[in-house]
Amino acid sequence: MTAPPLLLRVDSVCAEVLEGVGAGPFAARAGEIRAGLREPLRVAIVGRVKAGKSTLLNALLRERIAPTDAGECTRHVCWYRHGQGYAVGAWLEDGTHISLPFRRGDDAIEIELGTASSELRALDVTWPAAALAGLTLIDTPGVGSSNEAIRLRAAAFLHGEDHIAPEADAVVYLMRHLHRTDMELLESLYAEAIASTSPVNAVAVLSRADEIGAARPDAMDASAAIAERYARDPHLRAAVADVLPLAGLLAETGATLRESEMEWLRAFAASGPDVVAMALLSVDRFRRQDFGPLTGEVREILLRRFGLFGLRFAVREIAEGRIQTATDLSRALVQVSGIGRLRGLMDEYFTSRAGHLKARSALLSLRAVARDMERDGAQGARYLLQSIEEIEGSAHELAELRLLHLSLTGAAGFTEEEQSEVRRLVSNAPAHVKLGLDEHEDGRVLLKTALDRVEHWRRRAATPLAGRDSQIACEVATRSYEGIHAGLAGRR
Amino acid sequence: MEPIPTAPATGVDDELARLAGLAIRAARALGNEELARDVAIAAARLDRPGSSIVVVGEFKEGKSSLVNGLLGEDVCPVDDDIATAAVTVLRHGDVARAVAWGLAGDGSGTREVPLPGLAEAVTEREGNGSPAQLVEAWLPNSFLARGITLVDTPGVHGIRPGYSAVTLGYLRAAHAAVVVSDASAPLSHEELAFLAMAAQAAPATILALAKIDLYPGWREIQSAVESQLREAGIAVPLVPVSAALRGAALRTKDPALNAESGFPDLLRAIEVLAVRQSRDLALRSLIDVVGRALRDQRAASAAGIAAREAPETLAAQLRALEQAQVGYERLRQGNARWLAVLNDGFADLAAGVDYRFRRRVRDLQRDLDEELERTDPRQAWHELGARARERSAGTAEAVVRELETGADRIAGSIAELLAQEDLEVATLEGSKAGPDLSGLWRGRPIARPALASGLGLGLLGLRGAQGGLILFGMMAGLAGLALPAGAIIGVAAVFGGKQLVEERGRQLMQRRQQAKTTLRQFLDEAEFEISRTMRDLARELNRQLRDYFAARIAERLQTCTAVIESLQQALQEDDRARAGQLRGLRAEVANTDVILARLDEIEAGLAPGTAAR
Repeated sequence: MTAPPLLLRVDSVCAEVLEGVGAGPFAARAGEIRAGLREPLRVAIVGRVKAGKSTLLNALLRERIAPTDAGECTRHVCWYRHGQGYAVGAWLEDGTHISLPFRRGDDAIEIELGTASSELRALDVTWPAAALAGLTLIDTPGVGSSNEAIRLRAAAFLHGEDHIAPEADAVVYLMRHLHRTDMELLESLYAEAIASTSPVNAVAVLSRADEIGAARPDAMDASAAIAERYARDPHLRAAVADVLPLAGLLAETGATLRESEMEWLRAFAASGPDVVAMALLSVDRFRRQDFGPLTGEVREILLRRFGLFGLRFAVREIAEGRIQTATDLSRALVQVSGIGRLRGLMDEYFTSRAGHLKARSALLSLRAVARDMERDGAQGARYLLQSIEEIEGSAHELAELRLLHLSLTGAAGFTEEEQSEVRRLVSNAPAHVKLGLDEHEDGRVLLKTALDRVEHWRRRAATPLAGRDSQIACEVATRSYEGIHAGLAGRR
Repeated sequence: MEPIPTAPATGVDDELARLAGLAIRAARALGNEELARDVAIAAARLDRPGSSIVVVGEFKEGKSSLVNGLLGEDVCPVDDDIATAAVTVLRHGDVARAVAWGLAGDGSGTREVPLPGLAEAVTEREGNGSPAQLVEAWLPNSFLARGITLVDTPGVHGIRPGYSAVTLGYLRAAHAAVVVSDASAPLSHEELAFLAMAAQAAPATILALAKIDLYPGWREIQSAVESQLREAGIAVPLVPVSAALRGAALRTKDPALNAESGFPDLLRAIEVLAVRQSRDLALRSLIDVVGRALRDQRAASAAGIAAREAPETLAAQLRALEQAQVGYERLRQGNARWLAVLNDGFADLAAGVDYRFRRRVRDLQRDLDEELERTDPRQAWHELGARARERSAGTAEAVVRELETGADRIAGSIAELLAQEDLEVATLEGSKAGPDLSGLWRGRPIARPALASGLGLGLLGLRGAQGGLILFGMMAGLAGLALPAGAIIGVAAVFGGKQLVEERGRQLMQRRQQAKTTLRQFLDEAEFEISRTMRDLARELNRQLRDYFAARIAERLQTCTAVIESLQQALQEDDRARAGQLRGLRAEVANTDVILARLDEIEAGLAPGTAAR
């Protein structure tokens, strides 16, 4: 009889706590954790001021919801959840939740904070966006703001009240280049801040990638090279699964492009290569250069929507006939932005392992509850801790996360090939995908492959000189393949 | 908002040139050739005051591009990814060449670098070993030809920490700092703090808001930054610029583009603030040395007047002067008291500085150990490393500062001692000029500043310049504080089960041990480097003071001798000659008094804050 799924086990532990404790703050916390198990995965978007977090959020949602002005913009933590209708609310410091009036502006939603603004802990937005069905996204204020209140709010979210209860299950970390604060923040996230990030639940993004090469035509290639370099850096590898370049603005605009915008660009491109070249020398030139009928207001909109690189890119593609319609442009922008790769990575690392990651966060939160219960001398603390440790020690899903972590960070010393194999293995994919075989492959081939892999990893675990970490990793891989084999055999 | 300053008024130059001529003649008349030469040098410097401008800011904000924009040519390497890692000092020279310092692991070694190869020497690239610590380049460049020394720096708060403490140290010696921040975002918390410190340290500071060609919202950012400055009470002019437009303007020779690049405004601000600073310093230097020569002359004339007005006292005067001569001669002996004060003073100073320094290192060691006990190095390594470097840099800076302050104090006691012996050696407090700093930007082994001792000017102005640059080179040379990767990563606590909990504990202990060892190694190296620097600097300061006072004493002696000679002549004079002499001397004295008063007037009119720091 196979063990009940991980989430169910965690759910029962929560239920036991509720039964044991009855009412009071511990019950409330256990209740929250339990309710959270049924909710989508929570992904926080984190980074310094003006790194492009809100723009990324809008790009992922394919809608312009979060405001993204030139100056410092996001001042509060803001949760975006899926819902049937549209609603905006806020969590106050005292724990209550209120509704807030809002309206849809041209560029973003406008929320009236009113008198509540000083007691706000976080905002929350309910929106029927498709992207939110599988994920809850959390937009955060920038780290390192010169505004003290904002700085404190960002820190409070990241580190929690006593550095232990995660408010998110995974993190997307945005940076424009690797600043010392970024490194320090990544380090602190690694330990006991929001999600106890590890490469299993964190990815880094080299954001505003179109600006890195000073908006040269090869800017995205240059950024890709830099991102690759960062991805090989041992410090970053220890903290995140990968580093990807992203031009968030292009992704956002591509997903929300209007016909009128395409018309304007067409008109601009038609003014001839010389005029276009002069106008694209600088943002002010674009504003002032004498060309065509585009008004100042329209030019301003184009600048904010496309940026200098975006304009140069779009115009070149239009002039050379590769883009003819708004659909063409939309597709091209999204493609060049790099968001496709990010979505793929988030799917692979976050969405497809949602259950594992949620269980992990829930157990961390329950540990915090147990610690506090012990401190207060409440009954059941010891028992709760035991239950948690029992799950952690026996849940194969968690062991697999551990394997993934050891593989990604390089601690297990796996080759590139082995690392790819591990990534395939630790997922919710069907057996044939995990085995790297075709869907229509014969059942016997599947069985044989699984057995082969069991043998391979068992031997690998026994290799002399394999370090402790490598051994642990290999043992988990062995058991994973044993599980696959058992599953396949049971079916016949 | 601080307005961008407009050009200052000049006008005293011709007058001072004339006075300089008088001073030279006066010095020569007394046989003080060296003093005459000092005046000539100071006068020449007024014509072409050197000023040093340092470009600082966070990394990847556009410093090197800005430097290239000022120069009008691409000299400093600019890369999308890799940042500048060395201090680059650019001066005018007829032939283009560059020298890289500190290429060897222990910080020694210099090498001629062909200018196209500058990028490699200055940036940190994988597999290239460490870059140079300092690169000096000479270029036949018209911007530099105005006597400007331009310094490009590695960014502060980059991944190699430790620079901010030291950067601020040598900003004190520069004439102006240009702080660069790009127009993509308002100033971060750290940038604002750094700007505040830079504005305090450097005599003149300009904030350049860079890359305005690229960011549509740059004007909003400018307003935001101006608010930030206002709120923080930092009064610094802000100039929006674009190095890209500047480059395009220079290539196409388009004046409209050039105007849009903002560089004309930046150049004007630099001219006014930095160049004005150094001009005023040069003026003060010239006034000081001219004053000295003329006061000597006045003293000689006054003696001549006294001898002729009361010839019966002549013999007594001569005897007094001869005694003074003997006194000065005695001062030049190796066993003179002032030399003892000098050497004892430095011995005590060095001992005190050393003691405090070592105590600070122990404290740092202890603090880091304690911190390690409380945290897991995996979580906090970067922060720990950064703190270790910053505090070491702070310790090094303190050592240099204490030595320089101590040297000032010793100089003061020697001047007092000599004054007590009634020998009228000019006290250093009275000398308010700073030396020409542009000659100080030299390489890592403490190179003698070419001018300061020659000019015999106040050593006070040396504070920060040498020390800062030495520090910079030293910090760059200290080995990177790298924990082996295996120590950082490990099984995350959250995946625990019972055995793994124990395993985790053991691994944690291992990591801590490794971290401790690495930190200890770093601190040992830092300690070694700093104490070496300390010894060298102490020796150098000692020598400089000795030379300074020896030169003053030699001057006094020479003046004394010359006066004796002229008085002896007076003995031979008949009545008519004596009367003639008296008339002439009285006129001279009156004239000199007028000139001295005029000098005071000019000096009073100079901008405050150009006094030697």
